[in-house]
Amino acid sequence: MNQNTDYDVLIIGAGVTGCSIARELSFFNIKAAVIEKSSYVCSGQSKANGAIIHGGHNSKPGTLKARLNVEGNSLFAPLCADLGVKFKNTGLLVIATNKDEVLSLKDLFLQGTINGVKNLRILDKEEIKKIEPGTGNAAMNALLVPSGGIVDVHRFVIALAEFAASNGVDFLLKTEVNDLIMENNKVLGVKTARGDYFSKLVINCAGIDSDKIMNMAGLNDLIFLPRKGEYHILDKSHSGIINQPCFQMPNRYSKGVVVFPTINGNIVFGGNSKLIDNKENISTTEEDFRDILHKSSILVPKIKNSDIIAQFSGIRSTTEDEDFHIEKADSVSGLINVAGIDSPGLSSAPAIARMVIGIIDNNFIKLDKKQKPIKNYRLKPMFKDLSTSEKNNLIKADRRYGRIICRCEEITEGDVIEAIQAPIPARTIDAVKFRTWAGAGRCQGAFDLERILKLIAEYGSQDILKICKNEEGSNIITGYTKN
Amino acid sequence: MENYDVAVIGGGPAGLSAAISARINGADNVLIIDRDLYLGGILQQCIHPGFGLKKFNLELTGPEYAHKFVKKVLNSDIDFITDAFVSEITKNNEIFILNSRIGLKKITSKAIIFAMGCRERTRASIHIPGYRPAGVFTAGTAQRLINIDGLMVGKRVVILGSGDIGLIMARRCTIEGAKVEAVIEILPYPSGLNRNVQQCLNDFGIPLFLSHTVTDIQGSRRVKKIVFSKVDIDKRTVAGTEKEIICDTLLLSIGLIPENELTKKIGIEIDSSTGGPVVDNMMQTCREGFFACGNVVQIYDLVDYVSNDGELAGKNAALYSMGKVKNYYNSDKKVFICKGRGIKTVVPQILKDYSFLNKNKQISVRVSDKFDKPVFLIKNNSGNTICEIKKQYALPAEMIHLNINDDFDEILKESTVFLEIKE
Repeated sequence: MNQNTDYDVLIIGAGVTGCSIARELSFFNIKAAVIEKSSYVCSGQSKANGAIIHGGHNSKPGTLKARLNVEGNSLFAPLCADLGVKFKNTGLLVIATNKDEVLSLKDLFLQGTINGVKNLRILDKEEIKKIEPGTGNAAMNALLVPSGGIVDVHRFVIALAEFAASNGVDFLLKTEVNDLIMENNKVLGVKTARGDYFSKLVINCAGIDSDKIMNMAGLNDLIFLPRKGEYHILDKSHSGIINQPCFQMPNRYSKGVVVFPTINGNIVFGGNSKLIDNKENISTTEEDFRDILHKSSILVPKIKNSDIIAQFSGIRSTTEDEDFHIEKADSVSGLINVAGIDSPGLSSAPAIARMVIGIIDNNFIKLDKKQKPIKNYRLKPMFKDLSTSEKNNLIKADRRYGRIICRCEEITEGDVIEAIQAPIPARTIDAVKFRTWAGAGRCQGAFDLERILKLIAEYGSQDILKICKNEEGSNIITGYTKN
Repeated sequence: MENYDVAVIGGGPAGLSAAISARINGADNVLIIDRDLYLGGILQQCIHPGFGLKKFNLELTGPEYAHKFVKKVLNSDIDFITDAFVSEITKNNEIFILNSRIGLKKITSKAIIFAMGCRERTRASIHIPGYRPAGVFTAGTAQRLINIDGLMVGKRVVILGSGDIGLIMARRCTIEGAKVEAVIEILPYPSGLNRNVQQCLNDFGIPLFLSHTVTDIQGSRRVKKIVFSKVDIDKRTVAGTEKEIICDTLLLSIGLIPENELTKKIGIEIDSSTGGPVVDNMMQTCREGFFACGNVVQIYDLVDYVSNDGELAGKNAALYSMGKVKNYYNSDKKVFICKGRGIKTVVPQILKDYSFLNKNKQISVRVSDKFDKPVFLIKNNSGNTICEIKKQYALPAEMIHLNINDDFDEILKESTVFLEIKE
């Protein structure tokens, strides 16, 4: 067995799905690797979403989505506590603003109850105003989902990956799978620009490219209808206008918008769902913006005149039948597909991982637990979240925690260096941003960009000219000045 | 040292002037806190000349101008701590400082001067649609990278916004070998000083597109091209006027925002038209003992005026810390200045009767439009004109100083006055 290219399991995709499975696998005596085309983990759908943990009310009863969302939801808080990731059980509201929507709300309540979502309740106008005074007068009724929450999604995926990496899983970044290596209808491995890798089992967690991987295996039945959603982030001065995610009741014409708080204290609105043909198109448009702004201000009026500090969009890997596709491939062996993982993919991730472990154990490789102790890896808390005495002790031990690199978010040099030297090193501006939140504040990097470039150059031993925003070709600096 | 008489938050031109003036006027223990490695603030990166024409009759570069003040601080017993971050200021005059050498430290000061300056408006504040590639910078960030770090930000540059920073950067990038394809401005006239339009664009043959704005940014990894369109009088894009420019860099010079996070946190009243605290002619905010000067109050056009207002804030903060202010003014008299026709901002917003302010009494004004031979009127509640001040012209880009010395006593008789431009 070639140490460098032969594995028991290859996971394609380092998003929340792939990294959740990687973490589960790291508990067993399994040689595994995660292969990711981007320069860092959490770069696809996992990067650009609302970071909302759903209750499980949204999905049709009997679907995988329904079952795995409810199961995943119950696992989220303890898992985040173990990994040192921030999670808040805020609850969430689905708001109806007209008679049709009120009727649909009742259906949603029923659906959630059948799915096993606990403590659902329909609120009247007064009750809505009481728990969320920031909502508009158009709100007639709302479904309260007490098990909903918000999470630091980027650090969640990063923590899962770093846990797995600390326990022996290899992460092969900047490695795009160009083809599957197949023989006699068996998947033997993957072909990448960096060479071939072989394995007993390939797990396809490639997000919006999971259909591409399936096609490589000759599986062409799954139809993808990718949908784009846009989000607009408000300045922290608007923090507190709502306390939990507020969803517009989806209707005949649209999936609805959502206004929600993030774990870092911003308010975000957005989330429309537009069918698109080019799944590389993650641009935002003026038209979509005005539409989302209008709908969101009906939900939460104070949105209207607020300062927007950032905007982003992402593509969802929605399948035609709108359910998860998690199964071992039938017509070829050596492949498990975990496809169509759009919302509630994040909420379901811990449950999806367990399900996949079950599929592996029953069909592919008998999984036996490691005898030697597992490294109970968890993320170190950010400087800003420590108590005053903890802060002072940390600075005494390492002075670099006393220098603020990102003023808007209070991120220190120590935090940034830790990201650069992490088990999965953050070597791009975006990687540092998602691991530390440096550059994600109101000045959007105006103060910290220079400092982060220098830190990556120094602590990541990189030529400053080669440092990218994210992927190859997104260099920040184009050269030196004439002197 | 833990207890100061005057603490200045920010060591740029405003803070430096304030600290020096505070010391000269009798405050024994003065402290400057700055987040950068060296004092001087934004002037450090403004390596072009043009600073100090009014104050020193010299054409200095930013660092040269700053040095005149930094030198004074270094040759004095004014305390300063650089590479430091103020995480909080409380109503009880406590200042929490974070620095790698001293850790987390709390100091108190009898008087506090806000001199934090401003930050730049970013892409999302005007929601430019399109992709989010590398190569989009605010003009000031690019200036810092080029002038302080020796790093070039691009080879083919488009600049959105004809404010002074955008104009200066058009020239700077050209000098460093980049091709500056265009400067695009949404207004029908340039936002920056005329001399900069001449010296940075015309002299280098860089085209200026007025009444235009960027409507799309393309490129998934690095900027590949931008699309810009004409806008009408209401700043709405005119369909069918889209033009493309192939480039790898977009610099944004679309406005400055006074940095008032600390000010707002303790509930000090902010004037929404300036973005800065409401101040009186002593540069004191609505909270006693808290003063403000420089870009944190309003965006200035010339640093010379920043220094003057810094001096004023420093002097008064010193007098306040020595308990002398009460002797100097009649607290019953207070006049609010309301804005009328043509007036965008007025600083100070409130006038008080400070008998020690025997120098020229001025108010600084920014107009909302271009005016030829404007006549500024200050009227009382009944509509009677208290004073009339004639100017040759008024431009939005230039701060206008109205001397109200002669009519100050009359103004003080009112509780509210209205400032407007005569029809």
